[in-house]
Amino acid sequence: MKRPAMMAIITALVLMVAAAPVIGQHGSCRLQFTMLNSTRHVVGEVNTECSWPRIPFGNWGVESGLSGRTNTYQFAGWKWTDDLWQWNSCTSEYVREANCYDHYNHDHNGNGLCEDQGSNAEYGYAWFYVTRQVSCPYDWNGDHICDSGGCLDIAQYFSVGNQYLDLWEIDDFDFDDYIGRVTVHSGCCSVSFTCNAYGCSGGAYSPTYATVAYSPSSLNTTANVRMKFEGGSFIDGSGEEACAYWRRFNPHYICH
Amino acid sequence: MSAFKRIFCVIGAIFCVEPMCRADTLRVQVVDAKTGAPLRATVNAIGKLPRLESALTNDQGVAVLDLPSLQHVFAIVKTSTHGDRCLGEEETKDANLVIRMEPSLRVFGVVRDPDGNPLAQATVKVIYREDPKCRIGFSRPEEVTGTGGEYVLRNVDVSRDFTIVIRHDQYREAELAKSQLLAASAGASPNTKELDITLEPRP
Repeated sequence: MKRPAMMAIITALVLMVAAAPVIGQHGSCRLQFTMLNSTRHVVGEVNTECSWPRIPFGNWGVESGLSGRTNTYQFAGWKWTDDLWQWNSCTSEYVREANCYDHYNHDHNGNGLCEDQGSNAEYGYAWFYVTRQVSCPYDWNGDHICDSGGCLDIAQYFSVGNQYLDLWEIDDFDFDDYIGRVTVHSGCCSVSFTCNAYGCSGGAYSPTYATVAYSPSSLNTTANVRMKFEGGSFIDGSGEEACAYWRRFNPHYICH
Repeated sequence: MSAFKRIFCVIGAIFCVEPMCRADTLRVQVVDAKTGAPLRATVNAIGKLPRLESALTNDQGVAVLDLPSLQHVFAIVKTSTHGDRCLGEEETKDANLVIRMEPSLRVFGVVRDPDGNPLAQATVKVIYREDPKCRIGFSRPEEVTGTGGEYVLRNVDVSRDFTIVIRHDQYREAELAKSQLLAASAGASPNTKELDITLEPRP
């Protein structure tokens, strides 16, 4: 190779290195997710709300690896009572009935008698975020569009595994009562999304997974579970590690 | 990671089969700080892969997670009785961890107006100060007071810094510090606090 050509290549390499992002500056990309359940079904014996004046209905909360139980709509039932969607939580003392409203709302066996409960609408039971460290958004070719860094640094999909939902009958004035556990056997859940340097678009869903009843054996509770990606956002670092700091010295950090 | 496992890992990556890449095990034992009793907990961990791995503790309070590597692993131990604990990447380099956790509080009380009338539909929320070690975090819906102004906050983690924020459409927002909660009178059961709150009218 002739000397001028060699010099040009070396100069170009030096310029590329000089223009490259500085190691040590960074921010993070925070991804937010909601776990949802729907098509809930309760067949079998529940024996937790049998001695209170307001028997037999109670609100069920979800304790899972990603959530603590709350007195909201985490595992919404079918009977609207006290501003909540509640379940018959004392099926052990209420026999099957012809009227699908008082204590049951579903005829599971199709024999003309109501003997189980179902509720379809989708509600969130867990809300979580994951923060990944990323490099600063960076414009390599000078067109003011970020080519790397920020949320572009992360994989544009995410998955969680081993989901279980422990169901509790919520008692604000006493301690909560354990109902039972459902699990997702097939592995759960993966969601894909798209990002630019400063954030990721929310609204994507994983496929829906069916849970199976795990315990107790006297109760067959099932539901469908899926994960929603709520969105992602770039969060700058601080001090000399902040991308804002480096923008003052290198215009390649100024991009959108 | 051995050369054999590394080859397996590369094959797994090509065919998108993550388990082929699993090489290291993180073993976390979760116990009560005072009694040493094993705790029921979930350990969630994330390494370089975009995947949150979870494991439940067994009867000895031990959760075992299979991960591709113990480098750059962040984890959170989640309990329903002792709050949550974040583990940074320095801590998770140790494959055998024992985590001692303090019991959390169950806080209950009534939100009232200045005349002592209970306020329904007020929201009560615990807002924890962010810990930079926490790369995984959870949020929960605000508790809404019932017709008698009553509220309950479950699993309030006293090992972390927090404020309790109380809001109502017609009253001034109130904020209570952790120290105010700790000074409140104890409830009838262990690890409970009773805290009534009075909201002032908006100016």
